Amino acid sequence: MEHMEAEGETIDDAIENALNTLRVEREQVTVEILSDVKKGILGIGARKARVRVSLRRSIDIDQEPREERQPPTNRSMKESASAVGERGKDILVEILRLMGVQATIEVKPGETGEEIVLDIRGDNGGLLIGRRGQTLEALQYILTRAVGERHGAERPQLIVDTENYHERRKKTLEDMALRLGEKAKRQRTTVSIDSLSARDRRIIHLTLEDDPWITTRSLGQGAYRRLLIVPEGDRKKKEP
Amino acid sequence: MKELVQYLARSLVDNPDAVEVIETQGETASVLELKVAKQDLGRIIGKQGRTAKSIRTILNAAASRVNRKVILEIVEER
Repeated sequence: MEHMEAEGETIDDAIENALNTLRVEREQVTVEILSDVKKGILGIGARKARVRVSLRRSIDIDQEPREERQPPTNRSMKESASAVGERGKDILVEILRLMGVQATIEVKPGETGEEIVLDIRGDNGGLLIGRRGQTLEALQYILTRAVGERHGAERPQLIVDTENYHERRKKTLEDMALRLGEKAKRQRTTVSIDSLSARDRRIIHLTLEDDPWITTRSLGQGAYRRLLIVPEGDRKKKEP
Repeated sequence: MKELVQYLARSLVDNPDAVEVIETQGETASVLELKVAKQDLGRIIGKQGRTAKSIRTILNAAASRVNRKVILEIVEER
């Protein structure tokens, strides 16, 4: 089972930090309190609250290493989000200029509050998408690296999009998930899918989550991580 | 291309002043040698080479627009 430990000024803070890192909802995890806040004497021996958070089902999490960071005090999510968005935009504008691409960038909020979308407009985006979106993904990865290191742990995720690529990709993945889910059930065999990004796998997990006749799991490490769709002989039990 | 690599590298490292790029132009291809401060090498390469791979992907996308090939070498200083 996937789990992680997190710290915070209070127990609630620690839980929130963990949920933000895993990008899941409170209902999807069980929380174990490892230690409460300790004041210490003159700051000596002071400890933050520690919790361990475990995913209830095999929901995929981002495999990137996360450095331990102190959550900024008095943080304003909105303010830091727009700062990250603007910084990301500036860097992206410069990269595109150096690539010889004529385009403008629109910064907008993503589907969830933790995402900021940088939408590239103007150029015929196909060239920027690349095979299976790999150029977009590379841009997004570099931007995250370039922007991320200098902000707190609560930083929002940057998404680089053009010509609605992510939306179309999501639709494709959902269709594929349903098709392969049917195949798994019909042939009573486990279907495995290779070489998907963490984000792509997550879409498939979520698409098939409500089907009681199949379960989904991820196996393996890094680039070799695969997603399995397993048919269930009996109805999936409500609580695993 | 040289400027692009320079910019990408500088935005990733702690020591932007130490970033150095040497471009050697061939007929259809260019070789770019990238040097960074020793402690920044990890930032440029990334976990399982993912950052280096991303830089190459962006370079290739830019190069294909002008019908050229680009080879990026990350040079370790000794």
